[in-house]
Amino acid sequence: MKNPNNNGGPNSTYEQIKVVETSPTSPHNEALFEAGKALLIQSIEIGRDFCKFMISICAGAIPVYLGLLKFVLPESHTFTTWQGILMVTPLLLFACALVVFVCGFFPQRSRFSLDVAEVIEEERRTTISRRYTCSWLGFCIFLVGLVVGALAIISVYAPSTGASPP
Amino acid sequence: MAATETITISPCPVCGGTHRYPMRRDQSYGSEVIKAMTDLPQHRGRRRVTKFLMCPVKQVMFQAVLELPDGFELSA
Repeated sequence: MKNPNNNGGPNSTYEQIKVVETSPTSPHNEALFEAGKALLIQSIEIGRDFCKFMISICAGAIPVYLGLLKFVLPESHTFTTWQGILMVTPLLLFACALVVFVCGFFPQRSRFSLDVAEVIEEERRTTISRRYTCSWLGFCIFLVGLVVGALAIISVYAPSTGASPP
Repeated sequence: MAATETITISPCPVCGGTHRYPMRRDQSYGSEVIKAMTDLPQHRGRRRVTKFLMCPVKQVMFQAVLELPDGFELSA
């Protein structure tokens, strides 16, 4: 339905916005609106679910790594300082990642009024941003821990299974 | 820079009446800088956006196609 008053005069108190056409919502746009609502509501939960998932992964990685080390380490072996540091570093990185994900999982400690939409929007934006930062930071730390842990295990396992020098 | 304008929908596609809606529009930072740095009138194209509005009489949503100058955004 074309709006008959779209010459910018009686339609708007200002010239800038003009109403071109109005109509009942089309099925496609209705679906888009519902998708927008779902995005708005779920965007907070997705970050929280990811942090919750990664807390389990990081917590599980520590005993798994220790188990692998116990499996590959020979019975009597002495480590150099650097080997010791290389083997402990993944544990510290997994623990750091765990702390970061826990920070991302917890809700924000603030009070806000449900009556003011802008305040809710701002709190939502802050929460999503914080969870996004924690998720990426924690994931990067975890990834580095994985790589260093793999290197540590390989550095211990390879020499222990290699041929002894003549 | 944010400004509020009022648009009038007449006739409403849901109830047939006349409704007024305040629209908050924001000018993008780039447009503001250009406007501040030059005295030239800003010739810009216009673009169309589809806005969902609620009929206050029947509480049913409808859509309106609005024309905005480039560099302006409608905000919630």
